[in-house]
Amino acid sequence: MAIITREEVEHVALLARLAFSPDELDRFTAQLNDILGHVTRLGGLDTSAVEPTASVLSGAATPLREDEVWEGLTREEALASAPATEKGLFKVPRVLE
Amino acid sequence: MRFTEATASQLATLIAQGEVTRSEVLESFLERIVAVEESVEAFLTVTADHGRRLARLADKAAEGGATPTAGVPFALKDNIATQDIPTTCGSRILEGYRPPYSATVMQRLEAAGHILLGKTNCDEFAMGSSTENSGFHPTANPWDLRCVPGGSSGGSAVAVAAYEVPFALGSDTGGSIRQPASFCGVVGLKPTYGLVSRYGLVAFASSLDQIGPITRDVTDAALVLGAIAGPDPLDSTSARVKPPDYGQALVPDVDGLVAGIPRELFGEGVEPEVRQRVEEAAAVLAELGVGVEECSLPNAVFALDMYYVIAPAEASSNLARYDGMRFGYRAGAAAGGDDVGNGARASIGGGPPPGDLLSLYLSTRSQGFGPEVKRRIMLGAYVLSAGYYDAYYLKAQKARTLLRQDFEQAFGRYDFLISPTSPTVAFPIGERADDPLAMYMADLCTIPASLAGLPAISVPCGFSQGLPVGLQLMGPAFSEELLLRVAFAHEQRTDHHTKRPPLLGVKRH
Repeated sequence: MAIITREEVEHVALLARLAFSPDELDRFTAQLNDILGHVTRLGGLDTSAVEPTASVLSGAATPLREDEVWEGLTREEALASAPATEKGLFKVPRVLE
Repeated sequence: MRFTEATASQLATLIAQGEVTRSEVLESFLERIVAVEESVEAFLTVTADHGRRLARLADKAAEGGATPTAGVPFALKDNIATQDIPTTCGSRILEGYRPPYSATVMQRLEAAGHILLGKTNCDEFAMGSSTENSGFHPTANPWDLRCVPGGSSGGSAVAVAAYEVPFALGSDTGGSIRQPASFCGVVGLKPTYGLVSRYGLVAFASSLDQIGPITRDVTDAALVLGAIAGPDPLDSTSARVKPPDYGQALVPDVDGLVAGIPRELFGEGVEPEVRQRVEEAAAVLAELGVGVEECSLPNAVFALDMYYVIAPAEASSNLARYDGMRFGYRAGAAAGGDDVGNGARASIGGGPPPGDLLSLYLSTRSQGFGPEVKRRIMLGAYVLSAGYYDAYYLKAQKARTLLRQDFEQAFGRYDFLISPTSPTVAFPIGERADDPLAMYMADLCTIPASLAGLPAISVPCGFSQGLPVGLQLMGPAFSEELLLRVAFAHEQRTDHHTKRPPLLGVKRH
């Protein structure tokens, strides 16, 4: 039985802001099922008494720095790699009608 | 003397003693790049002019009596940011992107006087085990040009193995320094998570990513690690641990140490000849006084499963930033903007820009990313999506705790652990390209240390069918000194690291 259906793949693609052709959808559905089929083995592990690991570092090893103002990028530097700019701003498609 | 034969530490000495200028050294490596690059294609960018300028300036300063700087040429994997120098991560979505700042590792190497000679090819956003997922071109293994160099830091491993640079940096998320080092017969060190600053390393899986050296011998690994390690206020995951002088670790004294061989990393799937070479390496260590015993990391058999939930989950979040708005590729940008910036041009899709925001996101990302990156983003978005989070992501994070406990227990008894770096030697280009799971298996032995955030080094330990085999040594957190000492002792007793690749075979495209 498929773990993830073609429709679900299509839905997740939209969430991830990706678009696929019908062929690609078929291929990704098959490959994602292969991979997920492998990782579902994790379900067999007893993790009832275990805390999750989000980071291997302890907070003590990585204290926060002082909240000081530092030099950042200049407007020019920040805009230098933009695909489109106007009047010193990032230019993007209209968001509000 | 051919300077390209010398190691980084030998070159640093020659330069410091005034036996040779930085410019002479640089030119000999540039000549070598011209001679072999057509065969191996390790680089995405060669920074010859940049290098020449710095070498000339440093030579002049030294003539004028300034404190001598190292002046050794090096290469960086192309997912490490270099100010005003293209940084693409092997992805079309960042083609032509020039970062406005340099990574901390780049700043530290330059501060020590080392000279950037180029940016190396890699799997797109470091996702892959063969460098075939590069958006630009594959890279060939100098031991057999028909074979992959491993990945994702394949370009860095090849640049070092083919004597194009004395050392390079790679990044390792699940094995991306160690596995290509193993495939190419060089030394690759993945430091403890937090030892080397990730500032300026383009994020793939933030809880796993680490930068580390790829070198031709262990002495150079110690030298380069010393230059890049240590706290960095610009990286919140940088550990406030003062690194020791790793050069002090280079003594061939391992008598009395105890090593474990986790049977889970030595089982099915490990090629017989790879097993043999690793057993021979263990025997060499035993002769030097190391007690070697079989041991167990019971949850390591699930490491691959944990990894392919956790890494894609983090990647799907990290790669959300490539939206075509502030930098990088934007679908149809060349045809569209009034005031087009200096960023990536529309070299992929072309055509008029999509009118609405959603369509622009969809076309930008679909045209800009390659198939493996899309696969991982999809996996990640799925395992994080409503209804599946607990079953996949949370489960994998809990399993990760179990694996860490396995390591803790093992290090209660053993000083370090031994395994093959990769279950196989380098495979032919194209062989696993259409089979993601088979490709993922290449990282079977390297992923456990990544998930536990532990240091691990791959060193050459012989050959199988003419291709290099790598020995992996894993240690407790911040045990780099110990790993370097053991690797050094092994290297002193063997000559694998002195073998030269023939650059034979015909490259397949």
